[in-house]
Amino acid sequence: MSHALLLSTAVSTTGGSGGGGIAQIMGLVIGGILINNYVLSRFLGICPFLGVSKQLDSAVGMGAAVVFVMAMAGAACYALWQLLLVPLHLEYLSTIVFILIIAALVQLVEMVLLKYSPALYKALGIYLPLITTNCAVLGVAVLNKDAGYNLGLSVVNAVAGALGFTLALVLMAGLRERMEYSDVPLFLKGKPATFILAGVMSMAFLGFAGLGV
Amino acid sequence: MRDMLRLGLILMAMSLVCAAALGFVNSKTEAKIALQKELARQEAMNFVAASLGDSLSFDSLSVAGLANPYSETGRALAPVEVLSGRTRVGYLFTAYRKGYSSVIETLVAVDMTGTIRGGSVLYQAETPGLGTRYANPAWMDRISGRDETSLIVNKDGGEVQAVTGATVSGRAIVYSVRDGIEAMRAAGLFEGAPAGGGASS
Amino acid sequence: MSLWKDFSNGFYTENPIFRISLGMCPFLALSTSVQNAIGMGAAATFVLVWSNVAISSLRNVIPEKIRIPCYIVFIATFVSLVDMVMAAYAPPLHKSLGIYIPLIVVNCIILGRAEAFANKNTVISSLLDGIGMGIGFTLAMALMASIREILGNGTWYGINLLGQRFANQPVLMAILPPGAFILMGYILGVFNIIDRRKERAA
Repeated sequence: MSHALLLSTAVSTTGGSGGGGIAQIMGLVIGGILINNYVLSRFLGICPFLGVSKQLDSAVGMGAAVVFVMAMAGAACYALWQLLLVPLHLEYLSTIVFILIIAALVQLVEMVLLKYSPALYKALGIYLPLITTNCAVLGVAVLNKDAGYNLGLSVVNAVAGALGFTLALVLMAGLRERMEYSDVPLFLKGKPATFILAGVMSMAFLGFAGLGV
Repeated sequence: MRDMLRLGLILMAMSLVCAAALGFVNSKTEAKIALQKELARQEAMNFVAASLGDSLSFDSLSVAGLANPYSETGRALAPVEVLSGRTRVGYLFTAYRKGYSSVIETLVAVDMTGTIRGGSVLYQAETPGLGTRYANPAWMDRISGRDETSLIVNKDGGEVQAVTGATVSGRAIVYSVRDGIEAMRAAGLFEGAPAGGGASS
Repeated sequence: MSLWKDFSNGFYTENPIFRISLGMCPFLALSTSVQNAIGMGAAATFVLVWSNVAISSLRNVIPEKIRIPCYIVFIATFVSLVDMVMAAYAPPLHKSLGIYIPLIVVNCIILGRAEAFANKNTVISSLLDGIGMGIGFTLAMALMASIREILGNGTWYGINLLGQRFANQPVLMAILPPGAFILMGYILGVFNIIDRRKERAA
């Protein structure tokens, strides 16, 4: 029980499982975006958060791509979990199956972007295939599986998480663009300052913890 | 096209080999994992019910007309009877209520008069340093020896001292336990009237 | 000796956390206690080593075009193995690490080393690189966790160091998410200072 005192924050269970009313949906949405923000509270998706947040436009583009991938991944992973893995008692293959689905989806997004928006494709550069290794995408799939949400709630949870990620990303991009003109101490220039910024943002988001949802 | 097919087949072959390896390991560890879960459950129950008697065993119970005070959290009140030998010496139940940032699960042991004899917070994800203080076994002493008549937090005029700055979590624990005992008393699980005692601290 | 360099690179010069910024997610999330940090470090090192060895030995067999999905399948397999073994033989650690065990799959360090090193070097080199990077990762986590646990809980590996009064009113922020970010910023700042001093001295 000594671990109990060192439990990490976040992860507010909305009690029970399966389907839920509008209250549970609102709880997931507000929870995913504000209270348990995927980046600033749960530490998922840090790599792209640090890497793509230099400019506002690429941040918005990355956010949109992630929302799309996460929504589809949430739905697809749920479907394969319920329709294939559980009936065949292959639950232990969940990690492999989920990550392969995500890899395939990202490949799909890459092809679509290349065809319909080459500018965005170029702007995102290497960070587009890196959505596969974005902890937030696999993270939400595993969270949905553990909480036992149905299809609707899984997608809601995924989209909420992605929107939270986008929010954090866009806020950080805005702040970093401003910081270009600030007088940052030499030893903190670059990455250190970004982390401290993220820390202050995280502190601000902590204030949402008391939201009665 | 041919190329893609060949690549796809190679990928599938590798995946199948990996899946087979995992299947093998799974068959070896499945039993152990289930055993560990059961052991953890038993350990918690034994720890909490320790003061009810010796050589305890637990049995599930189906109680007619038992109200569910935990429907808001999607859970149910499901008391387990605690037996010492053949005699029923008390009950174990888990109370659920939303605290500050999580649904707190509290395992409580009560004796046949409805007085708390042991408790432990099974799960909580409250504010570290504040709400997490309730996980400290020492805090449980504050509700030991009480039944539903004296389970009131000091801020609401009662005697149970909550952790300063974490009243929401404290209220959740105390009142969820009180509601459980009340429901069990209404269903006739206890003998005699509430003793209405104070606690050890 | 080149082999020694492959091994020791990961400790400082190419420390995955502090230099290449890979593996941030578990680093920030699980550095709340030294126990969790070392547990995660060990699990990630295990996966990293086996993944490097497997990918390096098959580097001439895996077709270039599908190498990333193949790497992912291997890494996911090893992670699932670690998950099962931990659940069976170390349940408390398994519970503490929670969702971060399957997330080892997307730990950029493992995929990063596979792509940057294992598919171009011999098995022995890759093995040593894996162990070295793993140790570097674990050391980084242990360092951060030590600071956060002592400041935020008054303990180190569960041992109370700063007395009960401090434990009742510790620097909570260190254990909460903002503390992780801010401390990381300052640690990187310290690294910058050290680098600059070295440059000036050279």
